[in-house]
Amino acid sequence: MKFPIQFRPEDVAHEFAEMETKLSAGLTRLTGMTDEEVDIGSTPKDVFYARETFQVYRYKPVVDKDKLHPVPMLISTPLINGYEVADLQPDRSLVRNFLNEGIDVYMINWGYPKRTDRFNDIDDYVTDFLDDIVDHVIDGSGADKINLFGICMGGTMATCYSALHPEKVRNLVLTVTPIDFHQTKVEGQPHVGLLFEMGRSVNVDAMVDAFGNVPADVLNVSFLMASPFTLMFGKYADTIDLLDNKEALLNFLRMEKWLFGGPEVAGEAYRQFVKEFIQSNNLVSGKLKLAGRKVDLKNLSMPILNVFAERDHLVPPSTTALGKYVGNKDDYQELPIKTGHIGIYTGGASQKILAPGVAKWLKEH
Amino acid sequence: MDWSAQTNEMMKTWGEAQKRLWSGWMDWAQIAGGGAQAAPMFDPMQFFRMGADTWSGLKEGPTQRFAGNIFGTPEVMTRSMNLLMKAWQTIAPKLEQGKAWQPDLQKLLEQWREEVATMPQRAATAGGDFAQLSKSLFERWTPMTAPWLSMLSQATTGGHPGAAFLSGTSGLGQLAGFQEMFQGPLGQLSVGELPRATVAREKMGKMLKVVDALKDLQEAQKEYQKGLSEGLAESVEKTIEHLAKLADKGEKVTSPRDLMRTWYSIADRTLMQKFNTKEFLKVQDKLTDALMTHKKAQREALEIVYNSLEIPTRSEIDEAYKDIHDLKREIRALRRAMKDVAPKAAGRVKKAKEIEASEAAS
Repeated sequence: MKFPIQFRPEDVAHEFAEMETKLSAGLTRLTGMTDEEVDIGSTPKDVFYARETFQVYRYKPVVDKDKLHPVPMLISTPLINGYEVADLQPDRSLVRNFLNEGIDVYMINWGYPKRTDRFNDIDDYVTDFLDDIVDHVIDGSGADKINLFGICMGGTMATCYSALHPEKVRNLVLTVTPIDFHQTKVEGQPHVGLLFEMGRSVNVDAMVDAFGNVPADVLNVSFLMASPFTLMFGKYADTIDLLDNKEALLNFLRMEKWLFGGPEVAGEAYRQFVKEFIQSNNLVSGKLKLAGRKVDLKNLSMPILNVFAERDHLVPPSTTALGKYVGNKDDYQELPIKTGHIGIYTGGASQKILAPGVAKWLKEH
Repeated sequence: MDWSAQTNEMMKTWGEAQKRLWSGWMDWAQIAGGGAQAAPMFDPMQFFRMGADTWSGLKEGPTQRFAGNIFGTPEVMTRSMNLLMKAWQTIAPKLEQGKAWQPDLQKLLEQWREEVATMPQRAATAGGDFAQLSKSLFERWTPMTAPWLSMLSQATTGGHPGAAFLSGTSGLGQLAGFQEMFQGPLGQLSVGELPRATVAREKMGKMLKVVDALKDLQEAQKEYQKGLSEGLAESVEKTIEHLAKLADKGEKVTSPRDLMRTWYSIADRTLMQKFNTKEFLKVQDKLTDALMTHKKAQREALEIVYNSLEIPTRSEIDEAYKDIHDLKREIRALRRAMKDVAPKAAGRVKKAKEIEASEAAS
């Protein structure tokens, strides 16, 4: 019996030569690359509204005014990642796809909280900031309601907001949005829901008291724990094969820039999210109160489209299930997409499903 | 056939492949980080920022962080590659000769576990407890903290506080009776007699809390590293089992990069199982707690120094931020209330004007 590792000198020499050629050419290219070239969030837009650390963008429509959907769509983004996930690269941009579908797109960039923002909690974000933004979009657009589109944690906040202010939300669209934080485990798949598993037992008080705002790096390390060797080593080893393709390399760097350029999270918002949502599951148990008001999911009377990723290990499909809690079950729909948590926005196949599917649904409601 | 020579040759090739691959990246990272030349290039720190040191909030230079956190982090993960190579070297000849290789692998893994379990202890001893403490507490603040460091140096070697350092959190209880301390540097503090003792004791207590927190942190790190190393040992075991199965089927791995991918994939799957166990999560939580406690204790101790120099402290600034936050909330609530009231008030004014006009007309 032969031990299976059989490196033949000529094969290895060939592999080395190929690797070094790619590395040498690619690293020269990388060295000359500027930060501006690795552009993310590049779809043309105007700052529609700005306050404190956040900005709201309105994207420049690409269809004639009479073809623009009359109900503006506000994208509610997560606090733990940059808004650019919805506009990562020009040919894989949820925002561009919506614009092409004639949707009037507004998006929140929560920005980078400073130490002075450490006491902002989820109450502030949902009942004050988000409500203020919605009012501005309604006033500015002339519509009487908006369509609210949530991304991950931004979807959880959009759900809370819609339950508190159903009169301002015409349709609610959620994507990879955690709702039931105690439905995260999948038998035989230990990497699925690991982040929530970690969050359930972490001493978040100690963390927030020590850090103030929770640094992005802490969150990044948690994400990397889901596949440490592949994400810390394997990914960069495989990047060698992209080095001779400028566009592929740029796209890789765009993703890296977004992943590791995220904001820190306002301390009290982090504390409240971990304690009330992840640990106590108060959103579905009906115990959640924001600014003194009960967040009752039965108040979700507007049509809802809930989109989830079938291969999502960060927010597993079971965690996104909202249907049984809403008030209007007849107008609740789900759209599964065969992809992962980030792939739903940036994956090739998803480009043809997510925005067109949502736009079609919005136009029908 | 000389099994050993053949295996060694393969391992050399594997090692060379790793070296070439990562040194290429490292060279670039050094250039991009400004180590070799200045150029307006994409900053690798923008996308390679990660690592365990962020838990303690310590930031080092870009290159150190890059090297330490990407290609060397955690050290134990890199060391596991060497373990894989050793396992390969150990079992390959036996497998080829049709002899039982499992006992040798188990023995090797046992050695690895023992070796990793003693790693933090060795580091602590080699570095010296006090050296670690001063690094932890005062490294970045030497000019301001030198007098305190000197005082603490004497304290940790002068009796009870030193004992406290060696015995973890429980040792803090011993602080109550160290009157002899006041014969030393604390006696020079120009404060009143009784308050002097109280104040000094409280201050020293805060300083020594850092010592305890550091000791507890070392313990937690040791447990974490033990848990992680067990996971890595299992990964090596499973990779070798996978290779043995390939041998059974007569299949080959002919490319160093394919071997690397196989290792990453099996290691990740195995670590996931480990990370998702209650036992490991408990160890991880303990480490997180210890890191946070250490960071807080460090801050409290530094605030003594800031206070003595009349510099505003983190806690005081945070208090001000809290006040600003609460005031902002009040202003927002008032604005909203005014917004709600304004249309009603306008309506009342309009109605009053209509009545007035109507009365004037009649």
